[in-house]
Parts: sequence; C-alpha cells; structure tokens
Amino acid sequence: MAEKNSYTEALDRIKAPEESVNRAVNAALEAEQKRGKSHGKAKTKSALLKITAAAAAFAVVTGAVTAAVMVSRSNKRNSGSGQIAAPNSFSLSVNAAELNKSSVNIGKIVCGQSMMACKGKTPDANTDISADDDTDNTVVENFTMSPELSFAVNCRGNNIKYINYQIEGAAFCPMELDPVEELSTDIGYLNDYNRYNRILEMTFNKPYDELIKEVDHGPDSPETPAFVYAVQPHVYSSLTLRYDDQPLIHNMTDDELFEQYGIDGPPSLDIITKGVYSWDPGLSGVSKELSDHIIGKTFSQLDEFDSASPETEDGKLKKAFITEQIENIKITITVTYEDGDTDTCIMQLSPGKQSEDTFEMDVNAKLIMVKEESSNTESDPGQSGQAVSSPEPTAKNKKVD
Amino acid sequence: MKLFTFMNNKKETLPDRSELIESIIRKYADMIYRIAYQNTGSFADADDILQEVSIALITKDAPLEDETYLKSWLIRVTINKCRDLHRHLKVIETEPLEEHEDIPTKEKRDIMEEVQQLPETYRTIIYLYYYENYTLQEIADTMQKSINTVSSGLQRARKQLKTILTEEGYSYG
Repeated sequence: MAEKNSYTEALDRIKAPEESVNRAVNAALEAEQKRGKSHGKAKTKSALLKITAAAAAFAVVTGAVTAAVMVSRSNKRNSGSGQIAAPNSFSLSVNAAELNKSSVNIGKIVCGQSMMACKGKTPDANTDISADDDTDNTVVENFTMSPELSFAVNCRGNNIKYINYQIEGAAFCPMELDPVEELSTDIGYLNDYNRYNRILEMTFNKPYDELIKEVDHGPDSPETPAFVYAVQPHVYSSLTLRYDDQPLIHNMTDDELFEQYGIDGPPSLDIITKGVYSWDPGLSGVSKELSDHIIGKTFSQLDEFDSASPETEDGKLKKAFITEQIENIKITITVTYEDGDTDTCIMQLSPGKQSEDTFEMDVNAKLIMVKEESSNTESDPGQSGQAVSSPEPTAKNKKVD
Repeated sequence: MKLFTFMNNKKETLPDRSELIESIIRKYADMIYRIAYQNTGSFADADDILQEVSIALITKDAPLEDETYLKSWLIRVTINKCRDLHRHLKVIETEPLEEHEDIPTKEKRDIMEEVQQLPETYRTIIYLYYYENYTLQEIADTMQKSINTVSSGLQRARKQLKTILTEEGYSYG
C-alpha cells in the first residue's frame, strides 16, 4: 500500500457495501448463465452493426489482400463450386507501412483557430474577432479550439460483410449540411468499390471551424453562441459500412465507377474531428487547464494567445492540449465476415514528431489489440484460428469496454 | 485454472468459472467502488458502476486468466463506465458524503472533494499512484498513455493537491 496520507486514508474508508457486492455477483452470474445458454447459436453481429443514422464517412481504394497485420483464418472453406474460398482476412496499413504494435505515422494534426463566445456575438463575429475590434471590455465566456486532424488508413480484406468504426475520445462531424444525403452517395460508392477492389481507406480532414456556419443563429440573434451544443446532433462516434446489399460489379474501371457516382476520384469524405474531454459547457474542445487560462480574458488578449509562438507559455499550452487530444483517441474497427465471424482491431493514436516553430505535429497510430471471434467455436473448435501475424491477441490487449 | 474450457464444455467447467467470477468481484469490489466514487462523487452511481463492471467481466471477455492484466482491465473499464455515465448525465448530482457512514470526518471529506475537482485523467493518475502504489510506467500501461503524459499529469495534480495535503501535515510525495 502507498504511503499513508489523508487521501489514502479517505479511500481506505470507502468500501463497497455488502449488498452492493452481492447484487454485482448475482448480476454477473446471471450474465454468465445467459451467455452459457446462448452459446452455440451462431453469432449474428449484424444487429450490433446497424448503420448509425448517418455517421462519418470513408473512402475506398484499391489493393490486394496481404499485410503483416493481417488477421487470417486458418479455416479455408469450400465454396459451392468446390473451390477453396479465400480465408477471411482483414488488415490495416498506411501507405507502404503496415500497422502493427509499433507506432507508424499516419497523418498530422495542426492546431486550428481558437473560437470563443460571448453574449451578443454571433459565431461569425467571433471567428473574425481581432485586437483591432472594439472589444476590450468584452470577456471570453466560452472557448474551444479546433485541432485539424488528417490521416488515412487502408483496411484490406477478404469476405468482408460489415466494417464498424467506433471512435473513442473524439467526435467526428460530417461537414455537409445534410450528412445523411451526402453519405448515401458515398456509402453506395463504398459498397460498389469495395466489391470491386476490397480495400477501404479512412480519410479524415477538414477543420472544425467550418461547422460553425451550420450553427449560426443569425446576426440578430441575442442567443449566446453555443457551438458545442449546436454541433452535437451532428457528431457521431460510430460508423458501420454495409456491403452485403450491393450487387457485385465486374469489369468496371475506376473512371467508370467514379462517373457513376458523379465524383472525380476516390471521395475524400469530409470529416472533422474535435477531441473532447467532456461535453460540459465551456470545456468542450479544450482541456480544463486551457479553458481556465482563457475564460475571462478580453478578445484582444485572446488575439495575443492565438498569435503566440510555440515557445511561449501560451504556445506550450496549445501544444499540450493537442497532445492530450490525440492521446485520447482510439478507434475500434470490427469486421464482420460473410460467415458471421468477426475480427476486431483497436487503433490508438498518439502524437509524433513535433515541429519546433509551428503547431503542427505528426500523428502516429499503432494497434493495441487484435482479436478474432468465431461463430462456430463449439461445433468446430479448430476453426477458431489465431491471427497469423503480430500482434498476437494477449490478455493485456483484450478489448476494454 | 483453465477458464475458457467452458467455451467448449460448459457443463464441466461452469461451476469453477462461476466461483472464479464471484471471487474476482468480491476481491476487486472495493477497488471498483472507490474508483467509481472518486470519479462520480456519488455512492449510488458507484453502486451502479460496480454492477456494470461485474457484468462486463462476462460480456466483454475479461482476461480472467491473468490477474495482473485483469486488475488493469478492471480499472480501465471502471473509468470508462464512469466516463460514459458522465457523458450521459452531463451533470453529476453529488450525494452528500455525510450520508455514507464510512467517511465521517471533515478532513476526509475535504480531500475527497478536492480530488473530485481534478480532471478525470488526473484523478485516475492520483489514485493509481497514491493508492495502488503504481509506478509511472504501470500507470501509463494501465491508462494506455505515454509516460510523459502521466508524469506531467501527476505533477499538475500534485500541484493542485499539494496545499491541502501539506496543510494537514501529510507527505504527498
């Protein structure tokens, strides 16, 4: 036990009441019984993988089916024609680099423009504020920052039916005014293109700032701009792409495919990311430390903050903020194959090399977990094959809820 | 103990597994409850989170076979459950500490209230460092953050807590 102090002594006195523990035990055992009863039934993950209303969006590119991080089933199934079907597989890669337990640079993040709110100011006015404005008597009441994150990861595989992206530690906001409509085209494209080439690329870019236009209450509105609250309905943390309902496309060139969907090339679907610590007013998009530093300053003081160089105290605060934001982001990628089997990877983002004279830094990613499940474990234990390459699933990197 | 034979032969191994699950919950209930209380400020919420984490032991394939990893797993799941609760409720209603007979004194209440004012990450670091006696590296592993982040977080948290701890005559380092 650690050295005693008033904190540890206070914690010592906190004990779970016996009745609470008993309830917890009973709840767990009940769950265990249910699990035992349901075991043996084919796992149908589709219910868990419904497309969320309209989520972020992703793009598809081409490629083959190999990678060091690939999770590949040992069971090769016979197809109806008697040929051996390709094994289920799924992998992540970035350019030529294959994503594994080592950090790989996947993109960059740049400290975006800070945004502020005060009574009587519209969002547009706020974003244009500068020291030249007559606002020295107006203090900042709400403050957010907008790190601009851009990265791309390729997802490759065989027999993929669904891919689910679950994002933790960040909110991804489609830029379009009607994300549902926009995404319907993009996902349709994804479906076809994935059938064609079987590679998925996730692309994230665009700053948070532009979304402000969506939530402008109008220049005459007396309402205090509340960016985060207004944005929330458009923020998504999960996306499932479905591939099963689309017809197979054969002998179609890339250009024809692009033309069919009215696009010039693989769609760079506009997604913005804004790291969050909480959705509390005044803290969204900033750390408490940064918020405490800014709230109460005049606009002219905030202008100084915005223009601060990286080596200053303000600059260091900004950099620390970006670092913390990135470290919070985890993306769980779950692939459901045609036969119901699933594979899961968790990708952890982290800050990489930092520029000394700008607020730009590399974003790295590594796999912290690769896990596979089999829908046929009981009937055929031999089918619960292991990942063919690192990282091996270990107790430590098991998925954490 | 080979736990996951249950997957293939549930009749033979179910009793062992059930006993193990119960023993795990009883062993770590206080830890889960403390972390949950520290993060939510509510004994009622801590109670709920204890149950949720216990269920997650089953539904989320907890690493039951390795106690070291299991403890880290439980800590992370508990913290995540607290975070989920916070996100859903936005504002946490704090249950008055006086209602809990285990924390009778004013100074104990003050230090817990002080800790609860820290950002979530700091609370976790403080807890693991002071109470679980984790090293910075162990904290970094558990929280899946860099050791630099943990180190700076600890420094900041200690700065905020320093006053109250030293005023009471305790060592805080």
